[in-house]
Amino acid sequence: MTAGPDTTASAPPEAPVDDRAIASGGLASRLLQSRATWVFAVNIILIVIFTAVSEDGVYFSTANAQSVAISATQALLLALGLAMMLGAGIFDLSLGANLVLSSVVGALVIQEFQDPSTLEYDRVGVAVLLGFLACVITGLVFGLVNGIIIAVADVNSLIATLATLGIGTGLGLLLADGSDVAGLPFQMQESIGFRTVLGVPLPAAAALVLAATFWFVVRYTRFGMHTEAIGSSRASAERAGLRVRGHLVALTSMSGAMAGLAGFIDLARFGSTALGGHNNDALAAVTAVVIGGTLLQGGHISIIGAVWGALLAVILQTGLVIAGVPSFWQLIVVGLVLLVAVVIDRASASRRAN
Amino acid sequence: MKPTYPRGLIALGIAATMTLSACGDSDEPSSTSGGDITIAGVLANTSDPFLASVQCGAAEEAKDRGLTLKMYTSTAIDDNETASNFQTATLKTPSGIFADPFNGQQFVAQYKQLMQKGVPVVTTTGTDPRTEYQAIFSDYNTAPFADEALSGVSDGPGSMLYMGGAPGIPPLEGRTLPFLDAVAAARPDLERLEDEFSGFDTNKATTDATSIIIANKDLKLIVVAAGPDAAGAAAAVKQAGKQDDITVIAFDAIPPEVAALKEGTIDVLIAQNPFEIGRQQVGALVDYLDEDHSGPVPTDQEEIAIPSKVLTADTVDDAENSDYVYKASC
Amino acid sequence: MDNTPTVIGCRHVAKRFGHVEALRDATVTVPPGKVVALVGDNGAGKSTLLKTLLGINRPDSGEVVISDREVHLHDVRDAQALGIDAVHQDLALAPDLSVVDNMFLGHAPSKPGFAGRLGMLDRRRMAEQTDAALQELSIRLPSLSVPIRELSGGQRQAVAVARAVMWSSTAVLMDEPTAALGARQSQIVCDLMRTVASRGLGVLVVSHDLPRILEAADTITVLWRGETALEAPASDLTVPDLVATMVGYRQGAA
Repeated sequence: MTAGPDTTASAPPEAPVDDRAIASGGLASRLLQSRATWVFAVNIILIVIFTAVSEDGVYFSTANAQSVAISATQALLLALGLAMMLGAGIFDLSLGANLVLSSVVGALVIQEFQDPSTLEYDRVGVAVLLGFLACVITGLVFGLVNGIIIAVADVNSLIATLATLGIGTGLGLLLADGSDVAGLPFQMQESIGFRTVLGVPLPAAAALVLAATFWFVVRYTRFGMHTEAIGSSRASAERAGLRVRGHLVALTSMSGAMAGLAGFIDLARFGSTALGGHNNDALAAVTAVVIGGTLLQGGHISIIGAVWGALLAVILQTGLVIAGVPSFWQLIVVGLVLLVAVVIDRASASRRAN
Repeated sequence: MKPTYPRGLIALGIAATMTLSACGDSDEPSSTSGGDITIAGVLANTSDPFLASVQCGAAEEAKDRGLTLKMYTSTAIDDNETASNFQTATLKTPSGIFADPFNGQQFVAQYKQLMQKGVPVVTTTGTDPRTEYQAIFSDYNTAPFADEALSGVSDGPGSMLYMGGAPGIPPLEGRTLPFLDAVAAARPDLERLEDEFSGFDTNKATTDATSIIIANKDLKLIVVAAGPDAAGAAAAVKQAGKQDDITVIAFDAIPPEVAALKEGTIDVLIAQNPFEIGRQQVGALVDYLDEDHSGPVPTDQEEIAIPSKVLTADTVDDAENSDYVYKASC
Repeated sequence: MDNTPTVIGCRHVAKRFGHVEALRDATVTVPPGKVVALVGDNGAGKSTLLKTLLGINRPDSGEVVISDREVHLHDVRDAQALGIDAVHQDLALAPDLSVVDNMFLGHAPSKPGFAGRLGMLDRRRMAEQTDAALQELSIRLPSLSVPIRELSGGQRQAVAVARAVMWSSTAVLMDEPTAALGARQSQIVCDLMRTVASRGLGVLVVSHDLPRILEAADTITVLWRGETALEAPASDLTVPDLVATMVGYRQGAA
């Protein structure tokens, strides 16, 4: 590709080509080798199986597609932020706690507009908007704090977010007075939580738009390139003059804002917080992201893979329930499918290396 | 379900806060028997409004009787934390202890020891064989509620779903299984689908319930064993627009459930009376202590079963039902 | 050493770290278009000298000269601003990024207009410039878009050199460029050094590979215990001469 006739007088003889590196193939071969494609294929296979197994093929229906989409929304929002962070070589265990805390703050803000005696809401639109902003801003600030601890105080990200996980959870419980904040205006469910746009649930549509944005950022912008550079080799990035600390703080803040958005979605779906159900969120997000092909050690981000990864868990869960599989078997099957997905990828990776 | 953060620290912090806060307040312990009585309470998980309400009832009774109440609690279900809380509670040699651990048999050995030393122990979970002075819990006889609860279910064949929260919890199963048997007897034409256990996770419960609704067009009834799961089921029914087709009967009355009840997405709540349980736990201990016993505490007291009650949208706000509506804090 | 035009060099530099005198009286001069090798035993102070020339260390005494002018460097960016760049031993490349992305790490151009304000990269321009830069140095790679870790050690070294050349206008400093390479690849890198020099830049190479560096360099400077022990044209020297000076047999001879 770069054969060059020498143009300068004192130039040495033309250097021989060291051609032992593998040239990249075309689009088709790259697709085949990408982990995201594999997960996508697994998803399709599962959908086919579940449709066949469910009565009247009811798995393949608009209602179920909407159910899957909205169930995957929060996991996807967290996975997007986490994918970027993993790409830069940092971890975040506190995403679930962030979601919960943000939802509590948002709920409390909305409740400010409630008449304590009649329990009626005044200026619902304003209340909900402010609640939304409260959720996202709380999430962002939480992420910012994470970023400062990780990037400025230089604490290992696993430890730092383990600590903020505890602090965030405790804070959320304190503010919520020990239990779920309930009784939010029903309009939230009608206009947001249950609303669909062209058949797509509104929260899921928002998550998809965000996913598309992140994909674009990673592929085509300097920010995306820098993120992968920092994860690939932090020392090299620093040597090249990148402002690594600022970049990491930006990443954690973004992730935090996404968690805040996910917290708002809890409020919009249930009219209350859902404190108890987010203990494993961070882990679920990591699973989705890593299964999708983003490297745990940093340097490579696959947003598309994160999307398929987040969907995988939900497709499995809903499929097993619709098929009437007993609860205890559900756990076993989910574990097995995850294992199979990863093993297939490892096998194809080692084939590539040979 | 186990969180992975420095729980011990938080538990201690909350325990400290609790003991300093108004709940279980300790001014001048005066007692009718002329001695200082300190009661210790160990609760598994005060993020559960049921247990928070138990604590409120206990605190109320302690205040009325003029004795000191110290609480040792965690904010999440963790047997290790509950164990360390129990340990801390006994260190201060209280006059009596009431304990509501998640795992009923967890402290059998400790109960024996304390009872030997003359410290009465009361539980809401019961032990088998009995090692505590008295067990005070919700009446398992929920079968009689079936008729009233089922009144809204349309006639004709169909299917029903039981969402059990999490399996293997004796007090929960003790309350719910008799009810389910009664439902089966009253409505044999309802096919019982495979049970779902969503693990007290509202989000998962919504997804599970939605999937069942999609897969079973003839679904008429959902019975839910626990609060968060019920909130999820209610959201699923509402989202599918099936409030009129599907009856939701839920156990417990945490705030989200009460909101759903009033909105119509839950038809009936079968609520325990946590305040009374808390009051009676403290009361039983104090009654024993007032009687001037010596030697080991006997284990032969009759269990006290506190009846649950059916709540509907019409009756939930009645004054006489206020003890059945769980609160997150006093 | 006196009136030779100097693109980069230092005169009588001393540097002490605590109780250790890393440099006592170090002088090195790199004229434009020449390859100067800096050799010495372990602990002779080569690394410190390199860092001083780059602005990572500040000398206790003596002066650093860039483009015939004495300079006081505060950090690496000062040196870079004056057209100096370096190829460090660890290469400072990001293994997962492509050749093109690595070449532009820290210098990536945006697309013109609105897309540029979104931060979109002008990858086409980057690819063209990378291609041109590699061609000028007669570096041939099978692909510019695979992750750089899939290239061989010598190819990665070549990319690191090409990057330093692309962003420097005065001199390129190299720290042990052939240390991890095999014979064929080391030869490629040495040829590269000559090509770079032939473009008018000064090249300063720190190396342990005495036979090869004798061939590639114009001038050898030997450092012994923080002092410049010898500075002579490479053609006048043999490996035994160098070894002897490095261990201290012939001090100050020139």
